[in-house]
Amino acid sequence: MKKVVYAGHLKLRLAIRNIPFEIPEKIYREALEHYYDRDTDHKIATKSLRFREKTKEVMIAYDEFPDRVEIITIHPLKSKQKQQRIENGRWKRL
Amino acid sequence: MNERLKKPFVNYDPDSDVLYIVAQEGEEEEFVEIAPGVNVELDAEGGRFVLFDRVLTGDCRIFKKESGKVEGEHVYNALHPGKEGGNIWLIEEGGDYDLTLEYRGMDRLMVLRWASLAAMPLYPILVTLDLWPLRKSRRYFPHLQ
Repeated sequence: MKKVVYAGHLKLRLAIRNIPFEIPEKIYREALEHYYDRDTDHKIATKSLRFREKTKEVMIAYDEFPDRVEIITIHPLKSKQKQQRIENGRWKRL
Repeated sequence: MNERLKKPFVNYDPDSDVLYIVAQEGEEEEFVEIAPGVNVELDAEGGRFVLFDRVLTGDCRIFKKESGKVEGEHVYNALHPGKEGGNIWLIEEGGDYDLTLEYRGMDRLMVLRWASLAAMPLYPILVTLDLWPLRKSRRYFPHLQ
């Protein structure tokens, strides 16, 4: 199992946006859907989870290295956003 | 409750090459991608901007190459105090989270502003010349026989 590290940007976002620290790693470990984002050259994982008293789909963007996974950012995701990216070929399923 | 900052702050993470401009702390409801890799974060209160808002409505100079991919370092350099020129992005809030996005070259904008002031004495002549070809049109001058 690869070590998961958080980018400095992600740590800042977690603090500013009041996102629990463990969520990005949880999404990476438990996500059933992983994609490659053709436009940003990052990998994406999405997972629905209970978040701020709502069930939301949340995405993380991450880079995978031989020894570690670095998570760059996290965003709540609208279903149409995900669908559009898949349909227009921007996100390729891994 | 989201809290608007007195002054936006800018953070550039060189390791992940991410530029982050924070205008307001608090929870993000959703995000809108305005260009590949450039995201605007929105809060839950009718699409008010969490990010960017104040930076873009002030006289701060933001962004980037005229077209093409936005690069964090490039944007960061454009924001650097004392940097002259560059373009500005203006983002307006629209209905149902629509965004209107445009950029303006600040230098060109200033030139146009001064040019339009200098041309003011010529306005009556220019307007007359403009209307002259339409003088017989009933559509524009219906009261004329």
